[in-house]
Amino acid sequence: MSGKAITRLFILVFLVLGLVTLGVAGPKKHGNDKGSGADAQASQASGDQQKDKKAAPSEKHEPIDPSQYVGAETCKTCHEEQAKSYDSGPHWKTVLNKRHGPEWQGCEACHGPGKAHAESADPDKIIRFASLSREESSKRCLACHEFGEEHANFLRSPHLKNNVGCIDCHSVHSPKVNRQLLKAAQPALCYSCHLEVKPDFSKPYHHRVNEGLLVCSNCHNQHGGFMRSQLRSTAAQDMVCFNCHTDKAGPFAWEHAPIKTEGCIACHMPHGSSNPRLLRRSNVNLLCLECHTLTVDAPAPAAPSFHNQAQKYQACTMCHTAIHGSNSDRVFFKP
Amino acid sequence: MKMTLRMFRKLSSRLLLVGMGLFGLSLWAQTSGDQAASTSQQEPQKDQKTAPAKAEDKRIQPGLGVAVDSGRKSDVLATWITTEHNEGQSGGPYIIKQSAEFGGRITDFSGNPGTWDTMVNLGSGPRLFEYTLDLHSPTHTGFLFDDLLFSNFGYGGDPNDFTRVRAQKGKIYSFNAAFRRDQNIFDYDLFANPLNPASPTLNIPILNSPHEFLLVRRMSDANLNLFPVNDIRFRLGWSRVVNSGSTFSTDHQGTEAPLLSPTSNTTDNYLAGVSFRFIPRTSINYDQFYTYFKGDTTANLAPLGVQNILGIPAFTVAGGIPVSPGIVFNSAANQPCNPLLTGGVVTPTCSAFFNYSRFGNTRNSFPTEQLSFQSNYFKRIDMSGRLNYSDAEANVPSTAELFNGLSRNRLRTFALAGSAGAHRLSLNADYAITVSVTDKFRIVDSFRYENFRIPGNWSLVTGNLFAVNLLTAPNTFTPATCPPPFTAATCPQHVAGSAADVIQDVRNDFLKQSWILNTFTLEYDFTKNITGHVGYRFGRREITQRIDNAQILTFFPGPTAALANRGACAPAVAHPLNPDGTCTVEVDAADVGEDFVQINGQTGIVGFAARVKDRFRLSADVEFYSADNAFFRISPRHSQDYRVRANYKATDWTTFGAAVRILENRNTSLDIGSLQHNRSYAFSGAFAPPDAKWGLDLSYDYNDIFSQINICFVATPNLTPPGSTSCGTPFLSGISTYNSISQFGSGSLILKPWRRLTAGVGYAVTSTSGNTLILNPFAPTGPLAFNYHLPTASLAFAFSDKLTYKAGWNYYGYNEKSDPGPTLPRDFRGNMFSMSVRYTM
Repeated sequence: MSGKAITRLFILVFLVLGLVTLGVAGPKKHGNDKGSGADAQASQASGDQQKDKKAAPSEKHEPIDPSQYVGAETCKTCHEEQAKSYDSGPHWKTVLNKRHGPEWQGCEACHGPGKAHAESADPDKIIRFASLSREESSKRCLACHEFGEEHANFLRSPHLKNNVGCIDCHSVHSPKVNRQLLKAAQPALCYSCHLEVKPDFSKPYHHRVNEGLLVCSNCHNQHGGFMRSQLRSTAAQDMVCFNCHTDKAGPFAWEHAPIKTEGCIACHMPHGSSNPRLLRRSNVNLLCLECHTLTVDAPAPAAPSFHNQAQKYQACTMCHTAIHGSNSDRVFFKP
Repeated sequence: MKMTLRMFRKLSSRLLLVGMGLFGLSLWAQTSGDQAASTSQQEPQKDQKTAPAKAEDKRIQPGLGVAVDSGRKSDVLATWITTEHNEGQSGGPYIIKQSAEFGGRITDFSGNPGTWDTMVNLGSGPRLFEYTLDLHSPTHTGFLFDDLLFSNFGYGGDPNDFTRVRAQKGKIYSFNAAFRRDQNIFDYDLFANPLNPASPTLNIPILNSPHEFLLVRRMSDANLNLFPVNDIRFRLGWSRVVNSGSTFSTDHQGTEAPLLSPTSNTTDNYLAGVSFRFIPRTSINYDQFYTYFKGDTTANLAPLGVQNILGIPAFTVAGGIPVSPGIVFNSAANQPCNPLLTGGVVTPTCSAFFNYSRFGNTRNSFPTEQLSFQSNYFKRIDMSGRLNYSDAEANVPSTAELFNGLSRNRLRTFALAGSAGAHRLSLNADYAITVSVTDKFRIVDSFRYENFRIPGNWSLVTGNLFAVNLLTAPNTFTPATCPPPFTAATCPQHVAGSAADVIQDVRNDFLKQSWILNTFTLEYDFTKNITGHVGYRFGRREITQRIDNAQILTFFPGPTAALANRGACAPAVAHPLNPDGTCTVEVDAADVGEDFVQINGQTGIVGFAARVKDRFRLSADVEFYSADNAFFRISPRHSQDYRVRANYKATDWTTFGAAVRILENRNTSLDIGSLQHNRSYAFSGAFAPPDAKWGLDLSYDYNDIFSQINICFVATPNLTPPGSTSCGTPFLSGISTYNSISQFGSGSLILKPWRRLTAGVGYAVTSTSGNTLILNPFAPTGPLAFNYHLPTASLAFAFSDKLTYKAGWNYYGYNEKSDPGPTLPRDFRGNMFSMSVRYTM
């Protein structure tokens, strides 16, 4: 099948998937998200707040009752400390969103309508994140934060699948890193769960994460994404490594194919390695021979007979210096 | 140069020591003065001074978790405090917080300087450990910004410098920019080292890696988001990566000559994007990216002074002309010849370089456009998608290479010129959807389509000239100088094995991959805190690689007419000569052909996660992969990936963690026999009592990396590994094994016995052992077995609520357990003392 045919087929599949989605789900009647609904459902602000908590992610699909919202100033009268952190953090910006309804503004944008709670001081009559499941609490955050590529796939991310929600890394009211509202700075925050990754960055050859030059989120999108291992990519959807190692990106007139098909990790350990240049093997020749050996139907050519391992050079890359791709030599002797 | 630098480092360290002592005394005197002055203040003011001190108790909390190599960056020291913990001062509409930490490092090490620079690269001298300025307008009434953060570290000589600026003004804009500098030195002396045998030739050990480099990568980026809470939002971005410095390399022309390659490449990235949010709960985004790469790296034969760094003495040919016979000295294998020296000068028939140069400026441009969306417009449906198209173009309009020396079969000089180009056309599409069937049950599907194709081509012309040895000038072929019967002394001096005189090389390459990947998952919440998922992923990859390489070879006669019928022009019967006595033939390169591989892979996915009252969290994921093919031998046809993580918060101040990752790959095809695993078992414990008097952080990891695979190789006459059998003369078949067991342990203890004093000690060690197939009898095992010790200690004394004196000590001890071979031992031991003063307001 030609490339053009595949492209057309894909576009067709994409459209069909979209149409099927539209057909199955169908737009349900709901008020707009700008808070104009006047026919409020009393239950939303009633004592049955726990039910609302479960329904929280979809509540803005339903009409809301502005009269059940009391505004951030009311909250501040009792919750002084939280109000202070709210004011000094980025969330104060929600009050600028005047065109949208009260459910998008201030404390109640996250905690839901506060009238019943304010009148009774009953903690069960306000949405508390600690009592929600990670998915429920994350959906409340995503109601605002989902609309961008960074967070667009958090609901499908490995983190949430493993019951790690927004509040496991972020603290709105007592952050250690104010701008991102993080509970701890990277990489310590990531190491707290990814224990097996931490030692890699203490190996002799490693990316400079502990040194502060890089952070985990330079390469991984911790909020999910379309790529496996939550990896980021270049703008052209090539490997994330090429964002810094730009001279290896090519395209080259003659590509070393596994770099483009299998990725840099075919030969390198991305976090850290005991071996120079973060290689997977201590001996470069063995790394090469693992592919460049005569095999039925293998595309990599076998090493020729004059490559005498007992007498010649230690490393294949001593001659094949332009191993990441070449514009002038079919055996990568020069770039 | 290196000597001068080291002398400067030593001198500067002594000056720094004196300077730090004076600085510390002056601070002590100043603080005492402040205290004396404060006693004369009125009582309320005294109270005011007391209050911040109490607040400081709360602010200065030990930062646990990173005990490794903590000397590299001040804010991971045990006494970590940040500007965000400051009380700040009012100034106009802003609360201004500011801190500056200035001091220096004194470093001393013994052992291998190349390995030290590669792994640590910390020198002595004054440093700006940190400077941070944080302006925040609590009333959000700043003129140009409501928030501004300016922070940096590492300036003054550390290999890593960092500066960040963040600013935002309400709903108008948010801006962030960063600059990072990374000085990257690599000199692991075993890497690319020919490991010249001590006999039966000259004993010339190559002391440094022939591929060492000293590079600096500067990375800048700036991003501006306009109207971040509006229905139409704009974003602009720019980033630049500049990689410059010097790289050593080698060139293969009968011998391996050392090259010095001034490295210079620059990449600029531009972004312009807009998001629309007119549709409720839906965002539609369009982004246009443009990346431009400029590669201006060149290469020349390394000057004699540079060759001396590698350990190569100066060589000459008769007449005193300098020449480089390369770095490989193994006369038993005729490298570069036997004998190398005749009468104290290089034997004129040796392969050697008089001169070499290469350039070819590369210009790559990547225009990319992307349309993406995210929506939960429908009540129980959340979806996102992305369509990305890029048409990258690489252009090398003029490449040139000049060689002057002697290579195989009397090749005396050559000149190569031509051009090259390539495209990378990629189309990627993603679509992901989550359908919440009930509050507990979700269907998730994620579809990805990747397609790239890279057509590349070059057109190169090489002109070769031949002569009998290094001392003889090569002859060109012209009717005047080389008339029939082509036996004149002025004719080209070919031998039967000489390459063509003129090579016109036209090559077209093509690499394409099309990958369709669909992951279907069912997720179920058993309770609020227990979830599980099962899934199935199907992927189909189709990889095409095509090579079309036509070479037109022209063979000149000389010193006999018959030598025009050599190489691809032999035998004469099949290749009649041209009227001028030359022979021309068109041939395909040896690698011409096409490969097409289709790989259908299926993956089963199972996982669950449980959480008990936020005290205990356990998650497990398993993926089983099976495919009907593999593109490369090392690519698995079957794999299992197990991940288990657990955290247990025994008390509010005690946390235990465990993580297990087991990855098993295999391709059991008879002629491959690949078995690989990477197993890691990690444990941690963190203790931070609420009184903040002490904190302890412990971690341990056991990592087992293993691989075995059948390989074919030639190793005569010295080597016949156990179990080797023939796989076609002269090849031997053997099992390539690699096993690395790595154990990592770290611990850090922080003590805060008094309000003004914080002390910390830490230790991290990586210890590895392993084995591998050794094919080269000269090769030591190198980094297969080593211990890397990183103890650290730190002390911070708060003179006042604004002024803290800090001191730190780091030890770096790298000990390779293998025999160094014909290179220098790669061990090093180094102490680094850092002293600084931190002032906050």
